[in-house]
This record gives sequence, C-alpha cells and structure tokens, in this order.
Amino acid sequence: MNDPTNQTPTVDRREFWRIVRSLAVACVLAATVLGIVFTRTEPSIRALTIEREQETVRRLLDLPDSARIDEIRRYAGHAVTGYLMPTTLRVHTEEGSLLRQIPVPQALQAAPAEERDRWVTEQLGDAELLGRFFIGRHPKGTVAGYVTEASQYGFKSLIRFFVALNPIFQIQGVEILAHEEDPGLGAEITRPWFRNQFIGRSVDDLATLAVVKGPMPADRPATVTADTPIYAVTGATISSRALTDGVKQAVAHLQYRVRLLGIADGGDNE
Amino acid sequence: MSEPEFKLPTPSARELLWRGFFSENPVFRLALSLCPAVAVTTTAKNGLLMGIAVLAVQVLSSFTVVCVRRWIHDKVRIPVYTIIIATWVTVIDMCCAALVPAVYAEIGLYIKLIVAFAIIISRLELFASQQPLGPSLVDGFAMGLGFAFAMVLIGSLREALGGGTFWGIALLPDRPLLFLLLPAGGFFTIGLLMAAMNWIDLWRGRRLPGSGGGHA
Repeated sequence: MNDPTNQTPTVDRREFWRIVRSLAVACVLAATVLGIVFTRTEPSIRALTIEREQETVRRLLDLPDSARIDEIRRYAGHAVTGYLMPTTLRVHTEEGSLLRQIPVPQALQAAPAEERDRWVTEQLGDAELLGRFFIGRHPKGTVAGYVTEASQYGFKSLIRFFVALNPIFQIQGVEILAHEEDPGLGAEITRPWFRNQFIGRSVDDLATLAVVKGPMPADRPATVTADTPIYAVTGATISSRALTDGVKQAVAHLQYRVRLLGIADGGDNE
Repeated sequence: MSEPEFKLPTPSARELLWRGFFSENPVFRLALSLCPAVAVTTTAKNGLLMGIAVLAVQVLSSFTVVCVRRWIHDKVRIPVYTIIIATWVTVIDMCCAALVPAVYAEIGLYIKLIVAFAIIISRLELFASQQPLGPSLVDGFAMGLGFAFAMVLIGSLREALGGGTFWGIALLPDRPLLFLLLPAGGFFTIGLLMAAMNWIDLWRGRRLPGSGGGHA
C-alpha cells in the first residue's frame, strides 16, 4: 500500500468498515430519534387536522359547534365508484346506478381515515380516493348545507379549495386551502373581496357566470344578480378564471352526487 | 475519530456576534442560502418566522456536532452533518405541527426547506467541528440572528415597496414597486442591500474585498 509504484489504489478494509459504521450509527440514531418524536406527535397532529377541517366547514356553513359534520369519501374501483358514508359504503356503476350497499363495521366508523380507506380497498378489490365532501347537519339531522373539496390548476400549480353551499345549492362561501400563486398577484384570489364574489350564486347563475378583467367598479351592488360577473384580480386573470372554472365544476359535481346518493330527499339521513 | 486540535484561535463572543450580524453576515456577506431567502421574504413577518426557525436549527445542530464529532469519521462528516440537520428540522417540524398549530400554519411550508440551507452546514464545517462547545453555540446563535436580521430587513423592504404594507398594516396608498414581490425583485433587493453594506464598510474606512462581496 505504501509502494509508490503501485498504480491501483488499494482499499484499506478497516478504514472502509469504519466509514460504514460511522454512517450506519448516525442513520440508526437519527431514525430512532425521529421514530420516537413521530409516535409522540402523530396522534395530536392528526386530531388537529381533522378539527381544523371541521371548524372550517362549520364556519363556512355558519353552524354552531354542536352541529354534526358527515364526511363522504369517494373512491374509484374497477369500473365502479364507491361512496363511503358514515355507516354504509354505497357502490355505484360509473353510469350511476346503485350496485350494492355494504354496512360499515361499528369499529371502523370512528377509525382514522387511512384505516377506512384500507377497508374500502378490501371491499372493492382496488380503490383510489378521488375526493371528499361534507354534509353539515342541524342538531335534528336535517341538511344545513354542503362543503365540497376540489382543486383546479391555476397559474403555477394546483389551487385546492372548499366550496360551501346551502341546501338549495346557492354558494355560501369559497375558501382557498392551498395554492402556489404569486404573492401580490395570483395569491390575491385568497382575499375575501375576491372569493366573496361567489356568494349567493345559484347553479343556474354559474352556468352563465363570466369573468371580466378588473378592477371591480365602485358601484357594484352588494347583492349579486344572475348576470353580475366575477371581476378578476388585476394582473392575475388566469388565476381568477381558474378558480371560477373550478367552482363551477365543483358545484355541478356536488349536485350530481348529492342527488345520486339521495341525501337531499332525506333518503340517507344517517 | 479523535478530538481535533484547536488550531484556530477562538474568537470572543462579541467578535462572533459582530461577524454574524455584519462582517460575515450569511446573506449579505457570505451570499449563502439566497434562494430560500428570496422565496420566503415577501413580508417582514415571514422573514422573521423563517429567521427564528433557522436560528433554532443552527444552534441545535452546532450543539450536536460539538457533542458527537469525536465519533464521526472524517471522510463522511458532511453526510453525517446533513443527517443531523435533517433530523433536527424534522423534529422541529413535527413538534410545531403538534404543539403550536397556529404558528405551523404560517411557517410549515418553510421549515422543511431549512435542510438545504448552505449557511447551517457551512457553520458546522467551519466552526462547530473545530471549536469548543461554548463558542460554537455563540457562533450558531450569532449566525442565526444575523440571518434573521437579514431576512427581516429584506422582507420589510419588499413588503413596504412591493405590497405597500408593513407587518400587514397598510402603509402606502398604492404599491410603488409591485415587481419586488416576485423572485427577481428579491434578488434586486438583496443586491442593493449588499451594496449598502459595502458602502457602510467603505465609510468605516475599510477596503472592499478584491473578489467582490460574496463567496466565489
């Protein structure tokens, strides 16, 4: 090894193992620390996420803390769509007709979402979570409104948002959950003055709703009519259009699903 | 391996603080971690929150490196430093999410970025791996403070001139330089502040470094 004429460098085996040991010990220690911290913090992180979501839904629908919020999860299986309701899993064909209903085991009804996802995968053979929506209920159980989660490509990346609707499908609020639009430009769509323009629009209004380049005129009436347009954020027409298109689609899809599941008629008043 | 000899003289705490804030300021002098700095400094508040997070990771990582350096093989010290930084960043990320969700909602996105911050690993390599515990902690603290100071300064300027607000409070009737809020505007802001720092140095009677402001 000390021979200067030796052309190929030989590996010092002891050195090699020392390096391996040094790295391995560092990795094992780091993994142990992370594992301990993860198991300590994960339950409260998950509880907080659910709590925050429920709070947002209640606020959007203007419901008291005592109101019940049901989550409906939608899955794609083999040529079927699964809707996980609080107590039943409804399996529909892609055309919409009901194939079968499977009761959710008692133990799973309050289980974490991942466990319920796993159970649905077992029932359908293969399932992928496509989306979710929430039903807000008055203490008596009647429907107080809906909140649907949706996303749409903006100028930079996906804009994720909630749309809240009252029982007759008029928009009660739009809330941006996540986005990557430019601060000061596209990010202005998260401001109340912009997203509150959707409030009061009905399904029919949305069909003809137009986006015009801003700025919003000072004399815009407080109550919207069928032909009041959405005034885009100045310098961010693409982001404004994207959110408007996303809201239109989200409302149309929600209305279809609510009818399909018979929620509005009180048919599935679980 | 074996404890390295302290070849370098250990600077005083006052000298270390001065270095962190001015003469070796991570952003304005060393020109390190510029990309994440530009990404988050659209408001003064974001800059401050990011600065505090970096300060915490820097001090904790410096402390860990001083404690374990005798067992780290010299040839793999950089990967091991990276593991140490990544571990602390992840621990802080999870603890913030569980304990202070309101704060986490504001800075959650940025905390994970800190793993890739060149300033932290450079302090570990240049200082904490060679100096005793006390000065290493002071150095980590000073560099973290210097970074936070730079972030707040950049954030305030960009927010005031680009957005017309300061700490979210309306300051100006309009937005004089909207472009400062975009990434390119961030680099302009940093460049102008670097020039200002050099000017202060000249005014204090020092000569400019021959190779320019930042690292080669």
